[in-house]
Amino acid sequence: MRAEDNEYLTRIGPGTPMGALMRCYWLPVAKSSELEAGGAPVRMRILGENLLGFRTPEGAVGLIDHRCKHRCASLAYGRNEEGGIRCIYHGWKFDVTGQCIDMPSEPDESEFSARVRIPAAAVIEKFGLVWAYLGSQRPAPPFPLFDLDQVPEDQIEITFLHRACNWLQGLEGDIDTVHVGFLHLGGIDAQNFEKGSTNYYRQSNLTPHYEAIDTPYGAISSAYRPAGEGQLYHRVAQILFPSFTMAPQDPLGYVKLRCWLPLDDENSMLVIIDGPRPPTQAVDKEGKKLPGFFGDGDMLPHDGGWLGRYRLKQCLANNHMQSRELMKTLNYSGIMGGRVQDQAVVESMGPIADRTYETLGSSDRMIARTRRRLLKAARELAEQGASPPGAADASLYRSIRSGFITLPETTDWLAIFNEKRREWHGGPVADLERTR
Amino acid sequence: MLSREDNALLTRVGAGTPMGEMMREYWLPVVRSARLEADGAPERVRVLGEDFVAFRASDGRVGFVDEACPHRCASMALGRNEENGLRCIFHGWKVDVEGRVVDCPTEPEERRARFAEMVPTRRYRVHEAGGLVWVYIGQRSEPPAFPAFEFTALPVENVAPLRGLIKCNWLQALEAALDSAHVGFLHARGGKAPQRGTEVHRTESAFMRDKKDPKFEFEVMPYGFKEAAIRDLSDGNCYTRIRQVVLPFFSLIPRFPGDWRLVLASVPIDDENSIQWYIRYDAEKPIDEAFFRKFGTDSGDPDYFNSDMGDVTTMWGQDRQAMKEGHWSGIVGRQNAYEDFIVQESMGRIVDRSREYLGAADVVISLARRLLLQAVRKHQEDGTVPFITDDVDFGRVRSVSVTYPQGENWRGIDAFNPPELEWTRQPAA
Repeated sequence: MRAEDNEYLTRIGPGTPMGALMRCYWLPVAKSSELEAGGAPVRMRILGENLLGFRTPEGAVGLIDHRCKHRCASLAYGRNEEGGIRCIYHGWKFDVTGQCIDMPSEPDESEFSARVRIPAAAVIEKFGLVWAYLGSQRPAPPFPLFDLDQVPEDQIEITFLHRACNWLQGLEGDIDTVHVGFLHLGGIDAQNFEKGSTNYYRQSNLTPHYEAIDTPYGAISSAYRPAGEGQLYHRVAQILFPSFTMAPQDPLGYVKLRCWLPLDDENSMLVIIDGPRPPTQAVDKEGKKLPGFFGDGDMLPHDGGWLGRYRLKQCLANNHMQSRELMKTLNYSGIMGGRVQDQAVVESMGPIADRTYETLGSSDRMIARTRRRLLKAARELAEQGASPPGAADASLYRSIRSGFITLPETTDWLAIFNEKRREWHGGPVADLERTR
Repeated sequence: MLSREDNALLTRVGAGTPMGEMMREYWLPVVRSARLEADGAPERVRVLGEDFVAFRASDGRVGFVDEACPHRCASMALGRNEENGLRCIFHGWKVDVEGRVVDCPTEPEERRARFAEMVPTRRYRVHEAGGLVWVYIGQRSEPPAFPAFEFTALPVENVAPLRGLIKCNWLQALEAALDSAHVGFLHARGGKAPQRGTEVHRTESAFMRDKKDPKFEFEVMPYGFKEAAIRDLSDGNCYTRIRQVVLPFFSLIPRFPGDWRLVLASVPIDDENSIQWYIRYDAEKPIDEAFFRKFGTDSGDPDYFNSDMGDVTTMWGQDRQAMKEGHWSGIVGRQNAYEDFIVQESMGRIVDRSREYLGAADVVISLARRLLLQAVRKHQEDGTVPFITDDVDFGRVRSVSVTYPQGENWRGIDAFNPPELEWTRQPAA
């Protein structure tokens, strides 16, 4: 990849082409529970902007530029009062839309305050999350439900994890299913798994074939390999604009979603939204947990800074607590916990991986396709003002799911997917098609 | 004083910069040999602004490869060091000690070997000598001349290399190593100036504290220069420190003939960070490595002996009370290197040499800069590699401190066979 393309793809600050693309979509930025009614506002850097999330005593949620529109003092110190947040410097007050609603330092306040407004994101609370749209279009574009409304809200499990690297690096790990057999399960022989189980087939063949297909919302792929007599084991994954993925962690059809939210060019937040899940796959045939899957890292307390939420103790400075001893005796990576293993490799590439340096192989097809797709969409938006995939049509995200499935060799996995899709949809829905 | 442009020319060492390209013509000492254990943890190495990983393979050979995996740039420092190669934990690609990709298990078996052969990687040369791993990261297919200093030919137990890490540009480190005029001040400690020439104080540090304005003379050599710092003593002799400077990195510190010897090497990590090697050795007998490891430091870490040095936020632990009570620098209970490092860091990451005002004691600094500027311009013009060439026998390049009757010429002195006054061999007081 050319250095210019890498820059184009990765930079998301205000005024960048990819930043403009990101600002066409609704993105999950916080857990609802992070914002306490009338409580302390929360500093958040999102898409390179320093914003403040807060919930008024009445329960309304705002996400606004942190600077008071008067003289730039940070509203992070502000008083969270009825109807809005008040700057402690001169008492100006702003509601959740950024509108100035009180200006006690001005004699003729009513007229003046009406003209003063802080840049603010459009905000929706849904599924236990605060979602934000940072673009300028009003009304904001339609909100995509994915299929999260198809599962009971109290069974939705949400995890946030900070990654100290560019968002695209993280995302690329999600659509790279082959790393699982190495990074997470390296050195574990297929014989350790129940013959015929998915882990059995995955570990017996570490070089699956790939098919990746563009879709109206992004792309779909299957990584498939032989699964006994005349059968193929398919791992179907999704990528959804601008930075959502669905990884094949469970049997095909479970509702789940991951988002790589760019905090700035060199930091991102992985937001994992899981519906109800089947029992964990990370066990061997005796039901023992797989080595190295213990633990999810040690979460540090939020430090109140712009990038201070959901960070793990495991980081580059301590080699993600990799143990050379455990590497010889327990597992392949010497790192505890699948998520920490993922984090270690993507952070180790540097804040923004130098994609002029890499050598992509046959297992990186989905990655190459995703990059092309994102580049094209960002260019068309920048040059022609073309609305990027899915931004204007939330219905495209409906009945899109991922997962693994074993099918006869002669069966077209995409046809089966489309059939299942109608089932999830409860009625007819446009088929996904192979183009060219 | 230097113009802003010349300062940038001398200090910037990234790939593509003139000084960076010149430095890429040399063998660079980057890590202690003992640090790398066969099949043990790989070591991240940044040098000249680029990131690498050093590891010792199962058969004992040292590998030096780009930190980024050739596949998708995950760090090879996380890799599995096994079966004579380093295997990336992300997708299992493996490189050997020469940087060749030898396995790509994510590729279909039938074309795996061919695919692996085609993966482009950069290859580097490695040489182990004097307890150090030296690397060559330049472009030439034939590695450059190796500066086979005396210590590189000694048994490892005769050499004790310790690595200091400083948060400033390499030239600040080199200049501090060159500047012998500071010794009588910065390292004065708490002692009163000793009596000149008395029996008890015939030590080198006593001479240096006693006479803070030595006369300097120089002789430019193909590899850099020799410097003589001449101090007249009251007994009619003079005390002269003859130092060898092998540009661009090495300063050989003068010591009395029978003592252990010290070589400093200032190697750029990047524009704003440097390694300062303290390589102590004894030409005749084993050296007490454990002693030097703990000498004036609490860290006990031979790969970062000054890791407990602190930083500007605490003024490096400077003790103002001790200064009132007579300690010169307020850096108490530490070896001299701490004082050196602290003043270098205090100048800022890259000191602005257009703001300096140099005097008589700084002639050595000016000379070194002049030689470096000439060399880097010539290298830029026609690729001439200066200083370290096969024409010099570095095994015979040694520094020495000597005393001899005033009026005699230091230039004829052979550091391996110097004139010797009776008391110069007495142990230090």
